[in-house]
Amino acid sequence: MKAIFSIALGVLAAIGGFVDIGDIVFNVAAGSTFGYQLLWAVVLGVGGIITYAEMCGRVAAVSKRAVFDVIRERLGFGAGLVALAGGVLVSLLTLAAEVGGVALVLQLLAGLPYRLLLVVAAVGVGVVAWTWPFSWIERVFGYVGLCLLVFVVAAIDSHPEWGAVAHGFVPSTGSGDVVVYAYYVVGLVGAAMIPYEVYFYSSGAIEEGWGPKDLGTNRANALIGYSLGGILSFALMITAGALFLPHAIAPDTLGSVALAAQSPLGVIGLLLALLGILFAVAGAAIDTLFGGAYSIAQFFGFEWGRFRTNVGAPRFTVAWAVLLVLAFAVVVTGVDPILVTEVSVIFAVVALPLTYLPILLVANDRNYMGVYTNGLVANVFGIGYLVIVVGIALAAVPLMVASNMGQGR
Amino acid sequence: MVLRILLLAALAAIVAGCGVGPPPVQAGTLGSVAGEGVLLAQGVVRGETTETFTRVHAEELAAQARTVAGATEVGDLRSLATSLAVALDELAGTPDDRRAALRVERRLRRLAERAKALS
Repeated sequence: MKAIFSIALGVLAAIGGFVDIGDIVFNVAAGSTFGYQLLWAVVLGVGGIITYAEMCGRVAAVSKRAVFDVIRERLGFGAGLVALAGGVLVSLLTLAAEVGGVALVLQLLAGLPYRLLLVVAAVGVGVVAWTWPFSWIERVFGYVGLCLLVFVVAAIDSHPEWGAVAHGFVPSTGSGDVVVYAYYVVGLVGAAMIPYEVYFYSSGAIEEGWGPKDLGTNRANALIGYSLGGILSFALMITAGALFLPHAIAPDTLGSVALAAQSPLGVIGLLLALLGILFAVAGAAIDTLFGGAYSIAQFFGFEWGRFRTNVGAPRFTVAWAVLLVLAFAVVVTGVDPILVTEVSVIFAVVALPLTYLPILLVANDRNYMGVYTNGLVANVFGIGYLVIVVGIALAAVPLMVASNMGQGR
Repeated sequence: MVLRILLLAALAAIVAGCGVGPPPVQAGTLGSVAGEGVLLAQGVVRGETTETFTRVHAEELAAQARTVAGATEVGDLRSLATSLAVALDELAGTPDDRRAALRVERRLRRLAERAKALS
């Protein structure tokens, strides 16, 4: 009973923690531009993160090695360093976007000046990272992030054409500008499979002391948690498709996203949406912060982890503190956090193969994994998704430029 | 080298994203701002929103309209963008006034139609 309860809590946290600012921006933008036509791309992305989160969680539980530990060993120092530089750059951009996103939502709630709230957001993230134990961080933000389920109600209440919604789950080339459509496919898959999620997930498995006995929890968190988390992405896209597309609204602020819940559900919908976005984005900021610091510490062999005290893992602590200061420096220049989000997601896509290839290799290595190596199903999905991420990694930057960041030519 | 190319591409994309595009895109942006303004004003008319949210989001939308007004070289679009900014500023200034919001909503509907005709 206790084990089931523990799994259920983990799944809930995974649902609430699934959506970050990249998912919010890309799902709403895709829904307002193409209606429900891109729902299949969300399914594709969610399938990818389930595949690789399960794999890296299993690798961590069995071999006690997290993602960047594995990357350095499998790619060697040179190529591993390129992967690290790309991963940290993407984490930094994502963190900047998340910190800016927290400030934007606080502004919609409190009405105070944006730059003041940027300071509040950065200090708040820093204080939580410094003082909260890992399990609190994972659970509190995940649970309150469940307020985003208001978008499921909003999606139903906005009376979408359900036949068109069902049709959206069938892969198609879409109608309209094919380059913009392809850009959103790349963005949606990239947002769902963003690398910091697996850095954080696998490091979290070690933080929580997982062993082979926890592989059931790992599978449940990855499979059920991310699948149900994907429902939030569907809801965001469906709401935007039902509400914004008929009025030719191209939302590009977090206020627009909240408006999608307020318009059908009133002030309760608005407040739940803002609270859900605030905690989802703030939680993702902390995940990204630690994700970047985990990568650096694991690559260079520093001691790391929240299970140690801040002083007990000083270089890990310095790494996340420096990342936070740099992210604040980026966003305090006045650059639009939504724009930074789009760029960070597209660049995350470029870094995907270097993150996922080593995980696949180690998950197939009997010396590390023993009887827990990949089975046929894990390899079919793992190799299939690797081919997909290589394809979209090559296409990401050209599509971003050619589509004018999804605004059309 | 790869990192440098990526950073340059990011810079190029950000610079491109900061622009407001050719006139049809500008008209589309203004139509979008007007449409969102209508939804926002409707929330005030029905008493189903918060004053802070209305004020902050109306200011954001007005700023978007002013960006287009400052960038466009088409007279009709500049006039439309300026009218939109004025209407949204009025909404931001009286976020608890249902009657004023109703007036702004009607104005924004007309401006959305104008934007549609120009795009």
